[in-house]
Amino acid sequence: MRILKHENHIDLESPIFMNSKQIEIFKNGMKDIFGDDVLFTDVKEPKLKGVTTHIRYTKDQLPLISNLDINVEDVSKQIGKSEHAINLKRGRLLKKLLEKAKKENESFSSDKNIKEFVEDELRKN
Amino acid sequence: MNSEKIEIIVGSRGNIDFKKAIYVSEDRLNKLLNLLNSLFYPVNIVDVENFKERNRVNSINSRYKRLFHKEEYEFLLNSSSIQEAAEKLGIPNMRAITKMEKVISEFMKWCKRQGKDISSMTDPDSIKRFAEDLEIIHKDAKRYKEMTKEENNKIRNKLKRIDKIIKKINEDIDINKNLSKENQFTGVGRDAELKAKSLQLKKEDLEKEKSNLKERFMEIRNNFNKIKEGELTLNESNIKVSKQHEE
Repeated sequence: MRILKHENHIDLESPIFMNSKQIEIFKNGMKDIFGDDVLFTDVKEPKLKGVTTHIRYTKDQLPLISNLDINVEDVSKQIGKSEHAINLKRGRLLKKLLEKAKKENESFSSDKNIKEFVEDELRKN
Repeated sequence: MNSEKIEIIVGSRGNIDFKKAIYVSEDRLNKLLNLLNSLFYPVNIVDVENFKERNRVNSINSRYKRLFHKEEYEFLLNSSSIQEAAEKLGIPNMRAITKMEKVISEFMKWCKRQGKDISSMTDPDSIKRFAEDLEIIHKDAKRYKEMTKEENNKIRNKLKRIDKIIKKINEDIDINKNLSKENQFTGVGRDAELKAKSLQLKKEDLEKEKSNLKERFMEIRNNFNKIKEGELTLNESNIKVSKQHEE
């Protein structure tokens, strides 16, 4: 994150998301630093649209998700799932792929290797 | 000493923001940085000329953007888990996953462009280089979009206008052709025939102009996609913001 500074004033470059534990630590820390000068105001944020994170994909759909040459928008159109759902599925898979490449030094030198890895992972789930 | 209250907005979904820029002494700034550093990574302080207006958590539409820079891209790739990335970057889990999808995909393309295997590029130095390149790519793409926005709008408007004119010309051609048919071998008929031919030529010129405009539109779009994909840099693309379509 970036804290913007101009003379003796600072601002956040963009809002920060915190989990409940982080919020508690942040609030206590701010009170310690700024004492009574700090004021917390709760605001209601719009709810996020419902996102189903555990979607089952059929055998026909797996090759499309695993083909990284096809962009998320096109995969979404072809299999009728939201772009967000495809992003989530691919994001988790790619993180696994990266970890495997890091830890096991496994070669992903060709598109075929990558495709096979992603399809294997998709089958496991 | 500035006694102004510091208002912190706590959003119901967990987004935290300042209500506005706050005054801080050096001592308090250091303490605040220590606090943020204990919770997040990376935390960087950047000097700016002024604070630009931005949407905040309490804004009515709440359409604020969380900006990412090279440090964040680097951390995303180096983080050991999605959970760690989300917590340290100060983003929700789902955002961390979707961001990973984009950044790791870009990383794989980047490795491919370098003719390297992803497994040989996961060392911190390579990841740092990639993060720097990705930031440049994003900046270039944004800059190119800004540079061509006006021209794009002009092309779109001109295409709409040409379509309207062509529609009217087609109607006039039909009228004149009918008139010529109904008044064969008369002066009126001959005039109508000539008028229809002249309109046809005008239509062909407009079709040609339309085709050139569409070609330029596609050129801009392709350049943008290539810049976004890292296949073209803003310098290499020999960007010419065309003046020929100005009204």
